[in-house]
Order: sequence, then structure tokens, then C-alpha cells
Amino acid sequence: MVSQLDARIRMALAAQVDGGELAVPLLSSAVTRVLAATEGEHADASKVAQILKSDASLAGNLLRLANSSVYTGRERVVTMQQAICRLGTVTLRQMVLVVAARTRTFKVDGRERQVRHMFAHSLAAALFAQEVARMRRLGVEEAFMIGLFHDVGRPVLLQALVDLHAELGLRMDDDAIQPTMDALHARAGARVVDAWQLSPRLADAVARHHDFDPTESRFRDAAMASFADALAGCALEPSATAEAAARGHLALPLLGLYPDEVTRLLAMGPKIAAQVAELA
Amino acid sequence: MTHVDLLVIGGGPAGQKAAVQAAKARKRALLVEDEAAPGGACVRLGTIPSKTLRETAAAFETFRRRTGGVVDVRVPAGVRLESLMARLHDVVRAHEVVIADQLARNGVTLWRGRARFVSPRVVEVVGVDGSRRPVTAGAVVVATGSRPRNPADVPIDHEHVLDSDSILSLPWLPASLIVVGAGVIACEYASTFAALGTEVTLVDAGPRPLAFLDTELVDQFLAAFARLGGRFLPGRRVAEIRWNGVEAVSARLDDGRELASEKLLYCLGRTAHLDGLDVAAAGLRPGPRGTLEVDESFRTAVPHIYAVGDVIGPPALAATAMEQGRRAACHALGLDGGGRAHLTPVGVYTIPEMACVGADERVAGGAIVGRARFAELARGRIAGTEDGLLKLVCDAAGRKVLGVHIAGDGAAELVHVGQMAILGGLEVDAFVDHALNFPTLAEAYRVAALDVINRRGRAARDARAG
Repeated sequence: MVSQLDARIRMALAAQVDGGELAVPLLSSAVTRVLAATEGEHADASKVAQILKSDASLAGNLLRLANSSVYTGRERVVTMQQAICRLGTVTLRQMVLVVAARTRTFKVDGRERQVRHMFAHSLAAALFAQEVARMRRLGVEEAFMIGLFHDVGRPVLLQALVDLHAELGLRMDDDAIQPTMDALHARAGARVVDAWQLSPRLADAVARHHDFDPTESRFRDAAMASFADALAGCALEPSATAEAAARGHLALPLLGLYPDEVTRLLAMGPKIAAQVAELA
Repeated sequence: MTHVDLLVIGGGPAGQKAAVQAAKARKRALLVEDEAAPGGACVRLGTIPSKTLRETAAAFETFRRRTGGVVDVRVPAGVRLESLMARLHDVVRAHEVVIADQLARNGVTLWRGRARFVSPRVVEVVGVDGSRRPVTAGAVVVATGSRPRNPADVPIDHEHVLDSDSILSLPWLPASLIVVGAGVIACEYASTFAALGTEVTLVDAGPRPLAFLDTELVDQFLAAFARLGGRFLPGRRVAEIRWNGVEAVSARLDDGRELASEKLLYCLGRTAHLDGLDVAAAGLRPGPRGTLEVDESFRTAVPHIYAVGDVIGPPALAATAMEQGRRAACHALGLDGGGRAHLTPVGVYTIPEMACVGADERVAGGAIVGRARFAELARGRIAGTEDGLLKLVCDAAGRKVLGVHIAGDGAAELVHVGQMAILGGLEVDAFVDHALNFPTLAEAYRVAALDVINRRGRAARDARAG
């Protein structure tokens, strides 16, 4: 039986999101402890190493990322101890969150391809957000997180929809779920950011990235997430329509990006797509 | 095509005042600003944000001093930088609203966009949406400001190696920071971060920082910077800067020494911001230092085009820029701009604050200089600001006040008392003959004046004896 994603499911899902009952994947104990230990720029390397020893999967994923061209590019990182000492806490923290996002949220059984695509999109948005930040002298490290997490609600909602359909004995229609995903993913994403105790500023950017007042400077982070989202689309699935959408994006006045700067950002698409292919 | 009497390009302090001056004279004034709100780098990236952070740093430092270390007020490791500037958004927003109100009240038309000369008389304004609007004007004032000078061989990525426009976008307070340069901006950030607990190394090719300031003031700054844990390395050029791709930025000095820190602030000067303006189409060519050259009325080589503010180079101070903007507009519109202001105070927002106005003893030959150390003042003792210093520079007769130089709390405010004394042609005795509030730091004027009077008495006795 094909679901039309009837009102029952949509309402149930909206209630879960708004009532704080959405099943948000928990961070592993190791990730939580590493994040706590790396709060700020300073951390006790031996303490972090000790924590990572308890989670071989997290350690392995971190090493793989640490050796990608995006993060190092010069000398190979072989041991976790080396990675901690040499990467610095901000980069390490960023990498732990990338791994956590991929392994905890961008993971829906039976939907691997779709979710892999979502993760690639988020990574591309993270890398583009960094470039926007560099251009506008905004926080580059913050921008990465805003891009990475802007759509974190999508895989979480997808998991919830899979579960709801299974519960009701319905087959899921991908086209039918799309409007619901579009409508709820920003709020769901903010729930994830809250649950992971990341910054309220990040949660706000995620929550408002499709719903911001382009005349209000306090929505600049949301505008950046939204525009990075559009640029990621252009890089990973280039089309004239996607490019036109980026060039006419609502966020541009708020971000202060002029046509020549948008052209420069769009030209970064192939490089960022290649980085995403390596990381994702 | 739109035609106005005065077209002002750039909405910083210089541009605002030029536009307002024209509008007050009932002329059609158009201000073109590329950001969402006027204010310029002063509001968004420079003066306002950096002083907001400095205020927090100074509060920590003052608290430590006044409590004699009884209460530990070290900034916790890993604090978010934005949390130390919690009021910044409100401060900037309020300032933007005040500026926008002032422009609107005076009838200045404001366009958002980037201006580009098409010819000496025609300017095209490109909107953020790509729209194009041509404008002609009776006169044009270029007030596009400046941006940090970022040489091609310095890998400024605004993440690890930063400039003065991006340093405040850091998410966390860094544990260590190398500051390259020893000008006003470099020293202000160096002392601010040092007061917040960052391990700061200031490196410069010159023998001393802030070479334009009185040497005793600079001594005060260096002593205070050392007390905050800062290190100044004079006479060293930075040969190479490199982010090692992992955890540190390294700076190789010309003596072969290698420094490393979490972040590096490159702060070696600013350059005129003429990007995209196509001044060549207007018949202008920047001077050898990249700035627009002007005459005493701020007129460029093209008579109807004026340039004011940072775009014409030093002193690159907001207060000076405002006056330049006003005067340029007056000249362009044939209005009386009043007498030329010859006395501009300078404020340096280091910790301690420093300020000066008028002549210093190096240029005032045979000057009699009176000193007041804040330690001699009741208020200085109460406030725990004993290391402050005020110098009163008088003429050789020890009568006329020529200059004032101050280091210490409130220096940028206190200096205006001296400025008014100079402008009013007051004799130094006025500070002794009239009562000043007690206890105040302004009493330093009385103490320094007494020092001048004593010295002139000695000089007179010596002259009679000799």
C-alpha cells in the first residue's frame, strides 16, 4: 500500500518535532566526552587520547579525516596521539562533529544512498559557508558548523518517517514525504543541535535557515546557512536553474555579497565537490 | 539619469559628514554605501567592535589592579570571544540607527551599492542585486576608507592568520597570539588580548612601538604590556609566516628565530580602499602609497572630485575624517567652512589608554614640560591607576600651553581639557588659579601646571644668576 503521507503521519511527525519527542540520535559517550574536553581552544591532550582509546570506530574515522587533503595535506597522521597533538583542539572538535554527524544522524538503514547524498550536501555547504565567512570577515570556524548542521534534521526526519511507515504497515513514497521533510527539517535540525548541546547560535541558524528576515542583521547566520545550502546544490548538481537561484538568493543583501563575489563562490564549486568526494 | 549636487561614495564617518553638510545647505546629497547600513569599517570591523572588546579587557585589568589580586579574575581558558563582546550587536545596531536617523533627518538620499566611475562626471552604482544606476553630480566626494594591507606573500586565511578586519571573528580566545606590526591597531589588539590572558608576542622592525607618540608615553605602554605578560620583540622583520596545516602558525624572523602561536595577527598598515571604483575612468591615479592625493581643500587633481578620510592616508582617524568630509563638502558647494582646524587630538586605545594633542617636546624647542604622575593624585591612588602620567608642554617662557600627552585611565577623555586650553590660548597658571574637582584625574593638570610654574621659576632664577 502506497502512503500519500496522509495527515495522520504529518501531524504525528510535527507533534514529535515540536513536542521535543523526535527521536534524536544520541552522541556516543566518547563523542560527548571529547566535545566536553575540547570546549574552547585548550584541552588536555592526554585526557582526549584516553577517551578516544575507548571508541575504536570514532578514532578510526578521525584518523581517516585527519589524513584527508582538506585537513592536513602535508605530513601523514599515523597515530591518534599524533592527531591530537598536531591537529589542535578546534580542528579536532570539528572533525569529531563531522564523524558524529555522519555516523549518528546521516545513517538510515535501507536509505544509505539517499543519506550519503544528504551528508555530501551538508559537507559542501560547510565548505562553502567557510568561504563566505572568509570573504565577509565572519567567523570561519563557526561558519563550517553552520553549513555542516543546516540540514541535519533531514536524515533524522527520514528515520522517523521510516519508523512511522513501518509502524503503520505502509510503504513509503519518496515524493510524498518531500514536502513534509521540507517543512519540518529546519526545526528538527535545531532539536538535534540542542540535544547535542552545541551552541544556541548554531541551533538558531539551523532553525531559521529557510525562515529569516533578510532585513535583520541578527539573521545573518541563518542567511549564511541558506546561501551555503544553495551553493552546495550548485556544486554537487550543477544546473542553470541552481545557478540562477544562487545568483538571485534572498540572503545576498544581508550577507553583503555582490554579483562578482557570487561568481567567485560559484567558481569554487568543482574544488569543493572534489573535497566532498574525498571526505564523504 | 539621476543628478545630484553632491555625490558621496562611502558611508563611514567622512562620507556621512560630507553628505550631511551638503544636505544642511539644502543641496541634493546622495550617499552611496555598499553595506546594508552606513557606518563604514569604523562601525562594522574597526573602532566600535575593537573598543567593545577592549572595554571588557580593561575592566578585567582594572578589577585586578583595584582588588590587589585578592579576587582571581582570570578569563577562563576556552572562553568564546563573542561572549566577551556580548553588547556588541546592540552597540553596533544603536550606532547604525543613530547614523541612519541623522542622514534621513537631514534629507540625505541613501543608496545601497558599489560605485564605479564611468567618466569624470558619471558614476554607476551597482546594486547588490546587480542592478545598475547611473548618476551625475556637481561634485563627488570619495570616502571609501581603507582596508588592511595584505601582501601576497602573507597567507592570510582569516582563520589562522588574520588581519585587523577578521581578528574579532575568532570563535575562541586564543591561548597565544603573534602580532606583526607595532602601530596603533597592532598595539591596541596586543594589549587587549594580553589583558584577557592570551600570551602575546608583538614583533616589529622598528626599535619602539607607536613611534609618533611621546617616548615617555610609549615607555608607560611597554611597562604595562610587560606586566600583562606581553613580549615585545623590536628590530625584527618577519621573513616568513606559515600555518603548519595542523595546530600552529609559525613566524620565521630575519635573525633566524622561529616563533609559534595558535593565531597570528598581521597588522602592518592599511591601504586605500579603491577596489572596483575605477578611478582611472575619472582621470585619477593613486599616488605612490596607493592613496588619492588631495590639496588643502581635499580636492583631487580632477577639480570636482574630492577625497577624504582613510582613502587619502594618515592620520586616518575617525575624528579627522569627519572634519575632512565636512570641509570638502563646504568647498565643493562654495560654502564657508570656517577656520581650518589645526588641532586634532589623538586617542590610542591600548591598555593603558593614551592620548595627545598639540606639540610634543621634540618639536617645541626649549619647551618647559610639567609632569603629573597619577600616583600623586588622590583619585589615582583610589582608582589603583598609579602608573598614569600627564605631561604639559609649554612654551620656553613656561606660560602658553602647547601640548598635552597622557597615558592612563581616561586619557582619551582627559586630553580634551588640554585641547580647549590650547585653543583658548590659556596660560598654564589657569590650572592653578581655578578650582578643579577633587578627587579627580583632571587634577593632573593642576599638578603638571605647578611643575611647569616651578620649572619656569627655576629657569628665571638661573637666568638671573647666569
